[in-house]
Amino acid sequence: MGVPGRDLDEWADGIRRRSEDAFRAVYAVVADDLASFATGMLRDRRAAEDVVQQAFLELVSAAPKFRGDGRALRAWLFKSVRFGCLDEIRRRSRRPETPTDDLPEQAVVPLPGRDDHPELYAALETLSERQRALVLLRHVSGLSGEEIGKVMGMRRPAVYAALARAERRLRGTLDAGSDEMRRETA
Amino acid sequence: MSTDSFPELSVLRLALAPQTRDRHLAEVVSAIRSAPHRRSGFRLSWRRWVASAAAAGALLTPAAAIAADGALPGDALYPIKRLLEPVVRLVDRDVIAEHRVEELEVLIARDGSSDIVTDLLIDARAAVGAVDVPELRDRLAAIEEVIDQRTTDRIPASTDRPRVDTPPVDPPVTTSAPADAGHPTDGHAPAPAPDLEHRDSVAPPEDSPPAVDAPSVTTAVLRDGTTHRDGLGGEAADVDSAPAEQPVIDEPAHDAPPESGDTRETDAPTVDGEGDRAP
Repeated sequence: MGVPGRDLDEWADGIRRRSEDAFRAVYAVVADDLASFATGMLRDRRAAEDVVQQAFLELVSAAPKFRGDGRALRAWLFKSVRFGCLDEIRRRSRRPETPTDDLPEQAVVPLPGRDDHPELYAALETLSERQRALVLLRHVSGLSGEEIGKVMGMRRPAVYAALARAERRLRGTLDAGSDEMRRETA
Repeated sequence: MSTDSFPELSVLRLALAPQTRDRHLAEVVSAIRSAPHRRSGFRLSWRRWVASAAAAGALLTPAAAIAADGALPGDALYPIKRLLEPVVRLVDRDVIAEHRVEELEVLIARDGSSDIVTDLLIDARAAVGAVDVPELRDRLAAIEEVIDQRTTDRIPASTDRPRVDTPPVDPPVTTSAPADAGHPTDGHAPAPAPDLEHRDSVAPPEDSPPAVDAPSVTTAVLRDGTTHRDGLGGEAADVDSAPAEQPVIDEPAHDAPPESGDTRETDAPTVDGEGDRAP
């Protein structure tokens, strides 16, 4: 769990100067949070790692123009990862599903994260992309309402309102799934 | 951090594998090292450069026009003045003629170079002739009178030389005296031809004392040749060393020798080529 806020302040200037040490430090602080968020969005850990890497490469390009403190830097990275996830989701929607029967058997390799916690991912997929991002940013990556607003391009009251609706919906799905499992077990 | 309401989501928190981190950081470092370094100095994009140039031009053009307004031929800003005149002419058609006349007046007052005055006078005549402004014509006429007067005044007073009316393209001029009258021995130097600049390289015969100081003649002829070209006192062929008794020559005598001892062919066109040769 990354520390939201001030822990990146000392590296913001180094990022602007494209300091390798600054990039290493920022990566060490936020990479796991970014990967967790992306994995929750894509349900694909390998794709999530690629999105995180792409976000840092984009930061290298945009570093000289970056303005802001550590919180802004953190929000910038999450926003980049979110856009990367959206691109990947759109790419998947355009790409037809390949029938696994046509593939050689050795090519069907379970991707990491794909088959972990299927009930949880199934519940998340009942949410819209926006709601899923709000829930993941809040409860997995631990961003504040203000930071979520920067990432999502929303004002803070709107973040709280939308987040509350998403949480209610997710809670309902999870509780319904638990009741069903309990009934099946009984 | 409110994850209490959703403890189920805590399982989604993950940590990247060390090899994944190393791979990512290696890519990032490679990208940093291959990224173009920012230039330390102030750098303009091409759009800003064009905008800045346009703004600078908009600011500097009036300033340059104002600064060049009083420029005279030979000044650094004078080409700018001439360059902007067609633009100003859209507003004031007489501006070019007025500029030329004013420049001439200032140059005359400063006793400027005769070459510049000559060139400017040609421009002024053309410019004044293109507009119908009597005042400018009068001012130009006054300027021409001053130039003529000065051309006359340049003749040294010690030599009360006659004026020799020499056509622009004429054979070597001789006096109206008999053919032998031009011989130096008779005390009358022959009138110099317009192309006498060649004569200073021709040594006179040893038996005939040079009555004409050749270099002096050359200089005088060169000066007059210039003024004659533009019509500024060109009618006077000044010979510094000519005796005071030199008669006025109205017409060139083609049958007379150009000068004693001059046996070469001159470049000047002649009516009768044989008459140009010394006996």
